[in-house]
Amino acid sequence: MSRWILFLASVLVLAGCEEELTVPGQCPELCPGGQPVVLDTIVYATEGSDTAFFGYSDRRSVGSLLISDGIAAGEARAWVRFPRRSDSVTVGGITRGYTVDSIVFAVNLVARDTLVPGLKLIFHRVPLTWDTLTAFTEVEAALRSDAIIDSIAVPDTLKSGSMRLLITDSATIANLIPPGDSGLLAVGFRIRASEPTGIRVGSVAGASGAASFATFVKATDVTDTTLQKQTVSVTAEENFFVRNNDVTNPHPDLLYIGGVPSYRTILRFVLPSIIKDSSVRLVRATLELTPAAPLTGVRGDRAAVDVVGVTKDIGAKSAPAQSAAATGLIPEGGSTALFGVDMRAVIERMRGPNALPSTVFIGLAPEGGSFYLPVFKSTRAAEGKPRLRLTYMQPSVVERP
Amino acid sequence: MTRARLVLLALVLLASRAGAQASEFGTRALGLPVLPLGARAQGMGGGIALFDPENSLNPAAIWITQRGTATFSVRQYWRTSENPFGIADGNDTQFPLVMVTGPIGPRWDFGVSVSAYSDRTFALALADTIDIRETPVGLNDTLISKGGVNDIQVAAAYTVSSRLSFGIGLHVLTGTNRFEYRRVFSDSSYVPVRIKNELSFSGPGISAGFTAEPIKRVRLAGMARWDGDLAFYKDSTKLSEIPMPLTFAGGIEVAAGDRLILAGHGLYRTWSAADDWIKERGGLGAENAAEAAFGLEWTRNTRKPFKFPLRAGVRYAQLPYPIIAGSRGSEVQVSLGTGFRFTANRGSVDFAIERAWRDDDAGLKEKSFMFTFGVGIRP
Repeated sequence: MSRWILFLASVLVLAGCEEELTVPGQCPELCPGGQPVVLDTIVYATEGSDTAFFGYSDRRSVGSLLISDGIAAGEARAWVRFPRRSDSVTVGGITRGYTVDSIVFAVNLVARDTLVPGLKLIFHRVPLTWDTLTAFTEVEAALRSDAIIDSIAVPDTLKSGSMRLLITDSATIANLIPPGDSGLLAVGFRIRASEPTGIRVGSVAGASGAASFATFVKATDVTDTTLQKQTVSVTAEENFFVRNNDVTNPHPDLLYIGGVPSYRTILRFVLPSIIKDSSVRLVRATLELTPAAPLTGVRGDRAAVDVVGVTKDIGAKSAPAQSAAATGLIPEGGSTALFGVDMRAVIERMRGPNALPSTVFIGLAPEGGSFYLPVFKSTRAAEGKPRLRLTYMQPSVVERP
Repeated sequence: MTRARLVLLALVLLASRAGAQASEFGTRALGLPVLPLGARAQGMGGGIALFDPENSLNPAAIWITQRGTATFSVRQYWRTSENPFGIADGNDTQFPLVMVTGPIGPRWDFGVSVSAYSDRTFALALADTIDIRETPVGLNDTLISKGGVNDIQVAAAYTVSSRLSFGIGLHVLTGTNRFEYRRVFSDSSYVPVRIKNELSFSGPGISAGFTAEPIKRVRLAGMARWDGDLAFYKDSTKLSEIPMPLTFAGGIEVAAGDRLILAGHGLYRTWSAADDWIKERGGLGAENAAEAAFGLEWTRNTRKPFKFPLRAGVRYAQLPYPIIAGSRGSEVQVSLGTGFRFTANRGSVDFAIERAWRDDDAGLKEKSFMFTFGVGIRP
């Protein structure tokens, strides 16, 4: 009997595991509690509380170097300085002099406009004394035609990766590093193409690898040809780029992000009580910013606006909060239209227990290595003030009989 | 494991799922009323419900329990639902009744039962388009409701004579109604939403009934029930109290010869007690509802009356809650059943197949096919 009962009980329990309940319907006819209502509200940033701060990403930590020619996003030139190239090689434990056969420069292409053909990267010998404070005008003046070392005709099919310049001409090799420079070399870059364009190349601090050059030599007084050929390689130890439109005198009524040293902007909001109601579901939250100038960059080399919540609002040095970040891709084509970043995840962290302050920082990604220099209107503007557009859903009245 | 423990385990498992009869007619107020019928009574259309000791409708009916009995039933439910917005097929499983009865003295019998009182299980799929941020956005919503009100009864019956008994039942109405609203937007910029709420209920009740045999082979039965206001909670916060109906029922059973039993009942519930309460809260109100059931059982072998008797029945009921304003729903059900006992009548199995039709004035229709399987154990 016990087996019977166990069997039947099992059958009954298992039989209850499958169900198909759904029928088509329409509200309000068949929904006693009605449909959840979707509402939209706009919250402007607190008047006067939005400010741009700079200095977050310094000149030594740029992720890539910008080089451009004739684009609306501004002119940019880059340079690199290599450490001292050894004037000898060691063969069989004995230090020997050498004669140079050839030199290969390698520069990593990070991004380019692939629709612009005929790209040429032009190498110039530039002063060893340049540093991160060297101005654009000085760099531009030094990149003269008589300072040209050589150039690379970048294949149109190359989207990213290593660009190599091979120098075998004995006169160029001989003049590359004058004896008075103690084996040091600095190279400045400009580009030319069939139309205005810009590229980004690898930097010392970036993940793509800095420029390098290898000298292929023959050791003197070595008869064994397999030991005779040696390579002396160096990788750039310092680099920077300059542009003609750096923000040097920011307007206090505008909000800046990006640049080097980079800007970030703090925005503060007061969320309405309905948004903090736990029964309300936030379905979309968009930070809307109005550009004060066209958002210009290089076609195909996208950048984004990052929005990050803060753990505590202590102004410019507020620490970013974990899991409270959002990103909005900047549209291409010099847009001046209202720019939106969906940041529901950030607003959700500002609701409920242990809520974050309703303060966010906006910044540019990549920070310190983008042609974009977005500038937005602030709360001091007559129109186009920063604002949050919050779309939320109120639950249906399930208790309605 | 002893039999008693097995029975207890089955009661606990099944009581937790007492109700689940999904229906588009169960969307309003407390949902679709459910009668506490076992498989035998289901096979007779419910006609014998006031007399059969394996049903908890009439507390006096347990008087003829001669030994401890545990019964439970399971009902598989297939349906086709139709409304002005479409047609869909569905299925689910219901545990309409779990009951334990037995004698506790020469004249006293005792019973405990858990049954479905009303069922508000349904799921609606909705498609709509609304303007959000000045742009039309498509919505695909699913509203799911599961649960209802369950009836826990403790009953005692007193046998006055071999022809007369009285019974009284104490009831606790309890249960939960879990809602889940899912919404997916056609624009993926809006995140999908899932909202869950739970309504729960609790309330007291008392019932009294009798069975009598004034004429040989003719039995009468009646019962009345009062339920107190049903406390109504949303997510553990008490919101209100729902006025509950009075229930009155009367029935007759006739043994027409040795082989045939004919039985029927009429039942009336004053659901309109909650009409104002429902309307004040935006609902469509409630109306009193009557039902009538008639059934027969034909014994094929008088020496073995429990071996596959043939049962048949028909039932008609009005539904108390209009689904769409101005409409009134009703249901008609026909059924067939049989069963057998085994192991010296210590075990029993009963089956019923039923066909039901529900409709209302607003174009809602539902056809369902049900299979009820009941098991009885008499240790």
